[in-house]
Amino acid sequence: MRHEEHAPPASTFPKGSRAVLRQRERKIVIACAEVLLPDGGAIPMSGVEAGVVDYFDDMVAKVPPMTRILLRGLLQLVEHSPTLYGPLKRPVTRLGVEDRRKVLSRLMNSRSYLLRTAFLGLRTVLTIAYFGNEEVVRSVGATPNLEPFARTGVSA
Amino acid sequence: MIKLGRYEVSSHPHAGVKVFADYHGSVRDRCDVVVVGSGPGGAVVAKELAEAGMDVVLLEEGRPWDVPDFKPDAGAAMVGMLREGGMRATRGNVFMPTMQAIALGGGSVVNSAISVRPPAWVFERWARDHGTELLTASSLDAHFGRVETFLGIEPTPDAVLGERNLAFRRGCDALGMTSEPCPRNAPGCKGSAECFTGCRNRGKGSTDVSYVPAAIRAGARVYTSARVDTVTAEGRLARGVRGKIVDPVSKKDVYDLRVEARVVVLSAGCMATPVILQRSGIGNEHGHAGKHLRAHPGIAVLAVFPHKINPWEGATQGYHSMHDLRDGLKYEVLWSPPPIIATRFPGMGAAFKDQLATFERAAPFDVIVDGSDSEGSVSPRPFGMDPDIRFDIGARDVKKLHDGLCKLLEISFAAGATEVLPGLHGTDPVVRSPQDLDRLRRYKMKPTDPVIAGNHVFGTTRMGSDPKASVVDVDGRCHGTDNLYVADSGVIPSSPAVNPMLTIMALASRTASILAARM
Repeated sequence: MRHEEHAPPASTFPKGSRAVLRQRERKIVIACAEVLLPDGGAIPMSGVEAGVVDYFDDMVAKVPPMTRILLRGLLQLVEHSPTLYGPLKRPVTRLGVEDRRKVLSRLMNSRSYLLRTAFLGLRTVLTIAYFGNEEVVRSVGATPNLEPFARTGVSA
Repeated sequence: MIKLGRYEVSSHPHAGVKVFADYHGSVRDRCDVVVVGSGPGGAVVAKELAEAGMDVVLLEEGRPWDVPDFKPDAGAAMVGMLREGGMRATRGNVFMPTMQAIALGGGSVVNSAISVRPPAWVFERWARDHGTELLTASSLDAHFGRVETFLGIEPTPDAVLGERNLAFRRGCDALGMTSEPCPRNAPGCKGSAECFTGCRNRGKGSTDVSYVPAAIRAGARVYTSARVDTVTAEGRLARGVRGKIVDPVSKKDVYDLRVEARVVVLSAGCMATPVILQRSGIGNEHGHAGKHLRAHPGIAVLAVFPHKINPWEGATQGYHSMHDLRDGLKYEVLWSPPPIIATRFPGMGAAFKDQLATFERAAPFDVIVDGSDSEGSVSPRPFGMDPDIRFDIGARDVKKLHDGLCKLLEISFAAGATEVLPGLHGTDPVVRSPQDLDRLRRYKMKPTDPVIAGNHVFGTTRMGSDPKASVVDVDGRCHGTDNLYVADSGVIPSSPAVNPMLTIMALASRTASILAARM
């Protein structure tokens, strides 16, 4: 096994290299990450600690313009979903953690396909960003290995 | 046509490829044949025609990706190598994610290298429905063989299968289902499971390291960061192509691109080629370009075992079952980076993270269906934006997906899984017992319940004998034109039943041989 030799960089996207998210958009990402990927549990590191906000920002910077608009729209949909769909009448960034959990849980289990898809899209992008961190990858045991069967004598 | 033998492995496979930094102004060229797109279709045509003595120019919108560029990071790969940052999805009755590459080598750089011949009945069905009688398993045999030999296509060897693939085999064996190692164009595979993010072992014979270098050795000129927007024409005659040189970082148009040619071959993929035709005023006289988008809709489950699977080890998709192929279902082992697979995990917060930590005991399996009841379209959007893609999944295909999902659960349990995550809204997030499975069988699945992906797409420039119902003839030539051809997945008129790459390449090989004879 040659795990260490092929370990990925801590984050493929240099942090803050091309930040495009506005402060209020970064706050939405943080507010969601705190609920979706909190600290503790089987993988100790939280999403925010893992750098998901910068990663998300860099992804938004690097995707084509139309995709960028969609990602920004996704953030706004989540931010204003309590106002639009209830039951809480404040944006996500102005809610406490427990209320944010209720809002995101409502999106996750919504009968509306659009809202469920929005939740899954957000969780997927944040999970991608979470796995951009080397320590998270190591925590689940998924450190890349270019020759996992080298000991069995397989050669290219 | 000459040489038969495996492609030459090189430590500098992209030598001779022109990149953005090489351009200092408008690019103009003239040649016998201009090929647009360097994926499985275009690269084959370029190599075969260059080796036949033609003066060939190959244009590719993406850039070359070398080993140091490949990062085992899902986000970096998606943003860098996939259209719309990997977030492309169809609209219609579902949002169906569909991935198309933007890279020298096209989809072959990021796919799992599965290279399977369709069964003979596929060609009989095409002939019956589309008048393609000239295409039969035997008439295409030489072209399939030529591609298979050149790419070193072989069944995945046992030594690189890993536990994820072996578990699938065990499950199929226990159920009495046929299954086999996937034939793949990955002669140097070491089982690193990095097909999706680009093979850092260069074990995969993607076209950027196989066909494109061979085309260059035979004299072809290859321009990357070169996007084609239109075909220039006079009446029935295509004169060449026009487009832009695109900065691969900013994505901005920088220089003009113009290539004059005696023959134009469009191989930009089934999402881009019809849009070029729709903009060009040639090759689309009956308006079918972009219509009849077909796909293999697929869904996946995550089987969780009591023992370690280490799913990140072993050939990405090394085993499959074609047991129910006649019924339109194909079962496969699946792998892509963990955060992509994690869409199957339910929940959020600590519970979601705990699920992520079970990854080492998990194996994803998928089912694709033939999509015979589903159809869509591709059309251009203004201002050069990515195309508008519509797709509606029909009720019969939803039923097939549901049947396939239940079969995947049976395979999983037969393989020794203790629980399976079906990823289905409206049902139990975890299936643990025969009673749970029975409940799932009785569930009336809606198209919006699962996450349905469709990465095998085709049909938007379908072939056929009737110009009023198709875009190209069996040779790949656009009806009503003298010298405009299509060689990509768009020509496939309906499901090839199996993963389409090898079929695309064999059809492209045939088109190239016909072109060589005509020129």
